[in-house]
Amino acid sequence: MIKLKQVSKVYPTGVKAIVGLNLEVEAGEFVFLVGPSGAGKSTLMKLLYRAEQPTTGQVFVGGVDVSHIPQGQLAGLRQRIGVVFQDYKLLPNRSVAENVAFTLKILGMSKGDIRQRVKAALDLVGLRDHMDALPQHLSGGQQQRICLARAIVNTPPMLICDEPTGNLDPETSWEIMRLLTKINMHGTTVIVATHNKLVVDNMRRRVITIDNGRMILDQARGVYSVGVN
Amino acid sequence: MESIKRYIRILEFIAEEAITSVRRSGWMSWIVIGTMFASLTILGGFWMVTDDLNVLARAIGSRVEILVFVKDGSSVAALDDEIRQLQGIEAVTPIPKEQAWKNLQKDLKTSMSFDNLLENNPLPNALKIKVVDPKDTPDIAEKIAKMSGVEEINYGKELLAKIQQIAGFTKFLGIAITVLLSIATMAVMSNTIRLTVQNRRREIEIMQLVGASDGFIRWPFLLEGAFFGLAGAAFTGLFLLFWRTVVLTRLQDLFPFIPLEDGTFSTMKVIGYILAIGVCMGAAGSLFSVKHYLKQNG
Repeated sequence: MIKLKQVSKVYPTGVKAIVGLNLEVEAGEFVFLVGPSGAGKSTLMKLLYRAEQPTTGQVFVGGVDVSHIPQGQLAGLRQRIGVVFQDYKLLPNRSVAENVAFTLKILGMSKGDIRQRVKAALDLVGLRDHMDALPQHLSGGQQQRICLARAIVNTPPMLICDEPTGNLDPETSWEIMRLLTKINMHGTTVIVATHNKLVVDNMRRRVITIDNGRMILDQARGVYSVGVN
Repeated sequence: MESIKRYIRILEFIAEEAITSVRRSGWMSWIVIGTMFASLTILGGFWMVTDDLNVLARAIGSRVEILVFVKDGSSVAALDDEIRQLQGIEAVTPIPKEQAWKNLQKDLKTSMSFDNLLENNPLPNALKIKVVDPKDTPDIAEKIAKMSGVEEINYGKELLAKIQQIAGFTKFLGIAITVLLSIATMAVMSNTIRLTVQNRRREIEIMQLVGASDGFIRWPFLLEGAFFGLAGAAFTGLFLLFWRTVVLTRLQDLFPFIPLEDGTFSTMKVIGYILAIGVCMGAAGSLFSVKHYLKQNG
């Protein structure tokens, strides 16, 4: 599903975010990406949905080198990847339902299908009662869940979550994790960047630890080991 | 069939997005419409003035007549017939020498009696010729000059040449100013819409990240620009119509000797052009700024 070959990313400021990274993730896997702040987790995720391009190396998603696809194919790639952004990236002045429906509308789905899918996705994240609310009137945790509903509404083969529990209380965090597990069980590849030790240690999934842009640990059923020597 | 339906739904969504976008632009939309109105009014106003100048030039041109002086002893009637057979002649009016003499007396406004001089009236018989198209005047004059019995010919050569020169110059100036103003309008439009694009850059970025293609982002902006162009042009149209029907009509009442003809048709023509230009410039200006933005952030 995902293959990174000798990937490096140096920002114009000279910051080396990723250094010679090799990584492979099979379809249907559930992977935690851990590491201290500034380790390169977010950059790695951005490389997957081509919000950033690598300075050197290749990034394959579903067999396609996404770092070299033409601009015209970018939209198609992003339609196949669900992304939960750390800062939510919700469209302001549009209701919760409109935000979730957006990805379906650009695909030209029928109104009936859209309504059904949006309701199902909002049910899943527990926001059905807030369909018509504006995101800015909801709490951080609720906005995070809208973002998750939007990411999964199109049932993409891959789901990327950047700190999906960053703003949530422990109980809601667990709910989200249960949800991600459920989505993963339906065959979606899930990659989660997180600082949540409790979640990582309890789930016992594959854990990739990154530090200073390098992969320092790749455990099959791992634990959170950042800062542990 | 399903894919056609899909495209129709996407188009529907794009139209919805454009309408929502117009509704949400608020005061910004009035700035864009106002800018468009100002630029198009300058353009339309200029066109109307050039149009009026052309009408004026034509009117003066049409008053140019050819005066043919007939040789003493030649038949005026024969020359009259011969001239009438030429193409492009509207009217031929004979002026007998006696009439010319009286006219001269009248023009000089003198109480002096010339009656005793009448036996030796030095003025020749003449023919006054009106042509259909003033442009043909020099050609016709040349042909008449070659006819037998013509003593001399006079048709205000310099005046006609000057009028034609002015008409040509206004035409050239009109094209040049139209091109310059069009470019300026589009630049202003493009920059103003760039502000609305900048205002919504976060929204555009999010749309891109969740899989909206550049085309999908561009189209609603393009429709929005076209709408602003049309709205600005509609205000310009109303203004020009008001100017023509109320202000100019009043002016003409005050100065009836200025031949402005009935300008309704040309005003409608100018308004038609302005509407078309408004829509095109709005759409194009909008497209330029979004394209520029997408290029920068793609």
